[in-house]
Amino acid sequence: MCLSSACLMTQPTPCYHCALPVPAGSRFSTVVLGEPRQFCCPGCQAVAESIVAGGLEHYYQHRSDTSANPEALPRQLQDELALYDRNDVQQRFVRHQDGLAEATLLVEGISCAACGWLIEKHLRNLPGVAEARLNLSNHRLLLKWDDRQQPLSRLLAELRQIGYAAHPYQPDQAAEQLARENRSALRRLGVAGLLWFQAMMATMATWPEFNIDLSPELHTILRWVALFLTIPIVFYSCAPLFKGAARDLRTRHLTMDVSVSLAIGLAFAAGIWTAITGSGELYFDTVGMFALFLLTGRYLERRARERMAAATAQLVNLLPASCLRLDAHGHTERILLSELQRGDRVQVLPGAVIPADGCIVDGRSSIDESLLTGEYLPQPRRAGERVTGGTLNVESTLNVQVEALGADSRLSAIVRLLERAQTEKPRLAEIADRASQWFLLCSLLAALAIGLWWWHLDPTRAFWIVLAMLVATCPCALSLATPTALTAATGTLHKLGLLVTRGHVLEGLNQIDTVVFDKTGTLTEGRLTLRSIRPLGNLPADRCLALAAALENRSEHPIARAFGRSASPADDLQSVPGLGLEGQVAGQLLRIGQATFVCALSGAAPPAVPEPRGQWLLLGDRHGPLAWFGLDDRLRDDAPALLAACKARGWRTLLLSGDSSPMVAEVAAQLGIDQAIGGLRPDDKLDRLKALQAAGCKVLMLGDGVNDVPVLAAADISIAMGSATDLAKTSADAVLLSNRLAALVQAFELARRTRRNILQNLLWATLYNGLVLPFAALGWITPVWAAIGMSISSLVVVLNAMRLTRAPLAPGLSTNEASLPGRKPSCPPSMS
Amino acid sequence: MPALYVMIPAALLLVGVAVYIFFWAVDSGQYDDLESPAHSILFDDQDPRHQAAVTPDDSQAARAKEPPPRA
Repeated sequence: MCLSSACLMTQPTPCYHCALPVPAGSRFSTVVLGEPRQFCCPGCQAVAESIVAGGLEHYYQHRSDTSANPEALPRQLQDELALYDRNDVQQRFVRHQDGLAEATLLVEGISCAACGWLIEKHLRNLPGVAEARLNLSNHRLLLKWDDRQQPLSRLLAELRQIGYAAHPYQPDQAAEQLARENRSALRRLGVAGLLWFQAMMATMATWPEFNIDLSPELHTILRWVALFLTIPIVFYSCAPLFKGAARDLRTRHLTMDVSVSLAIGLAFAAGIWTAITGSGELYFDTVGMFALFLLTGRYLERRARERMAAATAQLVNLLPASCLRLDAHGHTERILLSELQRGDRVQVLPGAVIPADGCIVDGRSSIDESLLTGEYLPQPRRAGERVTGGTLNVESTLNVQVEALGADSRLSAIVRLLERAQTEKPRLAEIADRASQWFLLCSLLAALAIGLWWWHLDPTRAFWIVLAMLVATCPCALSLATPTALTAATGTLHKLGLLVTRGHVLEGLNQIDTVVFDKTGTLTEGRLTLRSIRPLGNLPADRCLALAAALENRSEHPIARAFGRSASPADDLQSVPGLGLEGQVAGQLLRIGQATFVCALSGAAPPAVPEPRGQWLLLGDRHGPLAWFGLDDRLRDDAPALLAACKARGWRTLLLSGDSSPMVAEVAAQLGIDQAIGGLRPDDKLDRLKALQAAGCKVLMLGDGVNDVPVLAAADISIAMGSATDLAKTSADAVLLSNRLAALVQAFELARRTRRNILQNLLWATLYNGLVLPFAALGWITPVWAAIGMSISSLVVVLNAMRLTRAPLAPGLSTNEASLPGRKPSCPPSMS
Repeated sequence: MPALYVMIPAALLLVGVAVYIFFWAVDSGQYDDLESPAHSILFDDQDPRHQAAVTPDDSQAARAKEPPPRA
């Protein structure tokens, strides 16, 4: 194993479980599928071991994406999980039926279909579990089990062991509404389909082209049967279209709904007239076909967009579900967060999230506020200083007096800012609505002109010719143009790892002229990595690293993670918050941390810091300093490619960061970002964005932290990283699940192609209507020709849209890698 | 074509039954998850139960037949 400082700069080996880089010198490995595999942390190793122990190692063969890092999932302690066994807690989400308990859980950490298999298999093998069914689209797990044999906390712990975190799920109103709407949309579609087939057969039998020699009575019967079958299509299936049209007319907009409703309404009205009088043409089949095509297009679009929106729209659970309350005698008791009151004292263990805003009464530690402020280094805090709920306690135990809860807390102030920003979000115009406005005006004017002309020639035929014209030119292809293109492109983006949750993203990407980036966690990886080792004494670099790793053997601290976990931790380890660590390795007393603290051990003068950039830690013993360790928040490998793509499109780039360190300017200079501003609070960021929008810029925002949330909500288009907080993901328009910035470059390209595709579709639809118009005006169009023309033109549109299912090539990737979108390029080959 | 006097009501009846079955399928949640079943059928080949062809109720026996853990 190469440990020289030069070697650390190269691409590290990916962890077999989560594909994060394996820290140098790490010794976590286990045998999976007959081969020894490297892991980045004991968490991944333990998960892999329990998967293998459960006989489910085929999971690694089946998965199509890397698994989630178990340490990135919310921490769940056993006594915290035990709270879920309390009766008053269970009452809210557990039902009892036939002696079995039944609950729905929301599972975090699912990355592909194999995860579903793993979870179901693992749970079903446990005694007492009657049923475990995971819905891959919304990540909800339906669990039926015997709660006398197996407490819920035990099942949650089992899930945890194979690398997933689960919370009880309570459907909120929005989710229930969405599910109801989805079902009713599907019912309308089904009714339209089933009845149209029958209505079509009845109608076609009456056409003279088929010449089936009907008796007049049968002709009448078939007309009435067709009418009877079309009524539910119009009044049940198409009801939302008519409602939409009425709403748009009230607000004086001519949208697609209006022109669609007009076509369906007129053809149906004429059909009734024909059914009663027996003279004229029957257009019931056209009504049904139009309704079916239209509803299918819209249903598919809806499904593509909302498929996983439900999975990301989770509970906003930044705060821990429980906390440790201290009583007057200093004993701790685990209580639910909802039971916490102002003035209570809580104990926050290292690695735990602080449950509420408060003041430190006892203890000294450093707090990781990166999600809230964007600072990437933990900030030291001691007694008397304030801490914010939702931040992470890193180093040592703190006792905190609670000062603000719920609506008064700083976190909910950000949520309120978010709500305000959402209401002020600008709406980007959609091509289809603009097109349909022109289309509707043109076809109405043409109908009027031709109607008047025929009125002079032959008043008896005028009505039927105008009707034939309106039906033949009805905007079926036009109305399919956008939904089909968007559905195909949304599916392709999902394969690339970009999940689009709101509809305007693909079209809107073409109108963008400014991009705003967040730094920590977006352009950078958001965690410290070891960049270089500079030995100061005779000890070689790899020996120094082994000593440092033995000292830094704690999982919670971001610095410790950079060193990896050592197999032989140091003895008598003491942590001095804000200064460093002291401990014994093989009888040698060592210190690591700030230069003055380390040199106090030997009495030597502290050496000068090698470079101003990044964070430097000194390692030393009784005889003097041994080595400098340079730590840095690494830029993501594909950040330069993304910036280059933005530049190539002529977009202005901005870096707005909460981080106040010189790192902001440095990252901006390195990537060639036009303007960089650091040290911004969430409302400052929002003000900057508002100023940009006031100047007429269309802004794309890319971020991940809670401090980005209001900006994400207000930007014209916003994309959150997959590693972002839940709150950021729910307020963004799209989520970059793969965390690969290169996927965004592909998304920009795909957005351009989608726009071109939509325009082609619209052009084709207009062209078809233009072609058919003269024939209709001459009175040559019969229902047969209207039906044939409509199907062909719609088919052309759909086939054209299907071209968008091919993903554009990523810059700098070979065809082989680009054909496996959604996988990180650094995956071990055994997974493919 | 007197056959049509029978065929048309029969067609209407069939459509009614089809719509009823479709509504029942939607309401019982059969269209809620179109993804998982498509994948699970592929993974089932590796199911130790499937391989050992044991009865589904006997999961303890199935586990005993799995290859021993190697870690």
